[in-house]
Amino acid sequence: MTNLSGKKCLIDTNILVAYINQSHPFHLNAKKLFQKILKKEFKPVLSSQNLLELTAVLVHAFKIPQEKAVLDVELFVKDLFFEIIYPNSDVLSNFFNLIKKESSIHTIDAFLIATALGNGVETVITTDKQFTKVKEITTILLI
Amino acid sequence: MSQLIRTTITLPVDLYEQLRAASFYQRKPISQLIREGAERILLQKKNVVGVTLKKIEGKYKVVGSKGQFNRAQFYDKLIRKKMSD
Repeated sequence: MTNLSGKKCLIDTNILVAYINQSHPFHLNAKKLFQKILKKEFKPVLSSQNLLELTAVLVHAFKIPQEKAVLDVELFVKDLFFEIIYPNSDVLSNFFNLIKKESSIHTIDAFLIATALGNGVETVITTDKQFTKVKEITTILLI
Repeated sequence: MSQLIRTTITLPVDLYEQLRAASFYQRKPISQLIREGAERILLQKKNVVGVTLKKIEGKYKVVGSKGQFNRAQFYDKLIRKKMSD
């Protein structure tokens, strides 16, 4: 993997799902990434969108009761280990610029990337190859 | 040791007296004892974080596409459902 030393990296929802699901085809890759996170080899970042999506996956796909799902999601945030970023005033203009320029990207992916860029995060770690089409952000594929 | 900064902290009198005694018996300055205590707390915190994240590692076993996340499919399905409601 690219040298990420000291870099802020957005961890995509698909990585969180791979980490919690031992049957996921990229579970081992996600485990290795989290070992790097625990060793503080880079600065891990999560967007509020990632946490919302993880909660939705747990509730609607994994069929975990909402009150239990939220306890799992809280494990990612309660120790302040990940920096949590939120859409700010720059995000809408970044979002509009991205979807004008990058016609192949899904609008929801564009919003996540806009949130990252608006918070000074220029690297995303994901299993989704679509992100590699976006020139504005560096994509590290964990596959 | 990394660069040091000087700061002011407020301590209860009895804690300060205990630190003074420890400083005398251990032959270490009070500031060093405080540094060691702070480092110990931060190390404990780091270990707890590891434990917290480990609690969720591989917690679920969901096979097939339901066990994965594809953002485009996920939102497209949701939007189609909202539109048909």
